[in-house]
Amino acid sequence: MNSHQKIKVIREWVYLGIAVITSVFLILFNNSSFNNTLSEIGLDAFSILSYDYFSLREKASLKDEIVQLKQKLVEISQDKKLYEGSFDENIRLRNLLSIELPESLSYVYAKVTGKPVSSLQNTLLINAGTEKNVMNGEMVISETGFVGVVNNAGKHLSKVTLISDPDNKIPVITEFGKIPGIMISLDKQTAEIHEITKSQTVEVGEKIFTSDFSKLYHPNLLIGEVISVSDSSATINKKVVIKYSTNFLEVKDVFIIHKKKE
Amino acid sequence: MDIKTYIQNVGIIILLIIVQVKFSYLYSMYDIKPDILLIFLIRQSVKYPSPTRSLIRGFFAGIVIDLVIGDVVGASALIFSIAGFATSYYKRHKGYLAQSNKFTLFLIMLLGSSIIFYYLTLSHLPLLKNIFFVTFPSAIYGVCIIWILQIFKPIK
Repeated sequence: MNSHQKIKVIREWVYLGIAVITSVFLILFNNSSFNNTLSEIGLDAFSILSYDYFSLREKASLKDEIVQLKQKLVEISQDKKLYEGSFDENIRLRNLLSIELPESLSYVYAKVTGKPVSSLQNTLLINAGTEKNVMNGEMVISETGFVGVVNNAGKHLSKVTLISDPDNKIPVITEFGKIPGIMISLDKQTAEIHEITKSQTVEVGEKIFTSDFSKLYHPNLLIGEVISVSDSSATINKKVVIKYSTNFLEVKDVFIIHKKKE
Repeated sequence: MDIKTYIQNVGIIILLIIVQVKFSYLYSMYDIKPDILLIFLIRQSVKYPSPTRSLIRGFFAGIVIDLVIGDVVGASALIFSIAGFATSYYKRHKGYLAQSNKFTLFLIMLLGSSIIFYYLTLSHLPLLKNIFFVTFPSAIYGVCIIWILQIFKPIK
């Protein structure tokens, strides 16, 4: 190998070093504002390519859906009139008992436009962003339950970290015993509930909801159902495994829970 | 590589990113998805064995996919750059690769990338479960795709 070739090889290794250092730098500062800004730019650029161009068939089905929704709306507004008296009474009684009313929420509709590109990823893309007032940290639900949390909100698209991300530690509560626990994901379908002692009763088939223990998560959102309970572990805690109520790979429509500005 | 090939490569990378993000469910089997972008990058690294070009190609493709849908920004960039660089370096060093050696190289790169990705994303999935249920099936699926591509569009 002559000196010219040697220099060429050294240069290649230097380039590799630069690429590795840059990547490691980005990985280490994964949740920094710099990375978030870069992600937002990436999402904005990608939104140009993934804009929803509705086909004629989709438009026709949307028209039918609108008619059905209008009919439902009429029915609901009639029901609302029936229950208005009870609602006012409920507020009066709550005030008398000094119970705080929950913060008023609104729901932003979005379609899932991107799914995890590899089996180890836990991110979804949805077609709602800051233009619809979607913000980082807001919760995303589907008709079957809790889906995830907005991680990066671009202008038109947002990244959602699924609850199946093993880094999440979500405070939960059981349906019947109202027993609190911490949920940690095992894979894309199941999770384990920690911190439930053996003296407490949890049944197979019992539903699991988010609890009001953390300010990050809204309470009473359905997460899943208990599929196995075991007292065999060497600790004082039970081994409770749940199955998510939502199949994250098949979810198409979601709602972002958005706090209304006062 | 001429300018036309460069533009063609950029176009294919963008197309593959869109396909991966929007239509990965079409080729997913039991939640096993091969990384088609990585397959393309490794094939290109064998076809044009220039470590620097493979590194740049891998880094930019990785950073784009990380910014669009990545869990950890920089993870794919790191993996794609190393995989591209190592493949090109090995191919240039060996000069000629027999078909069996080529497939072994592809398999090692796909498996290695998957294992690094597993550690970078801090997945709490048990290591053995990850290897037998995610990493290995994905790599085998990827090699099957490469095998089909080698039949219809072989690279030397």
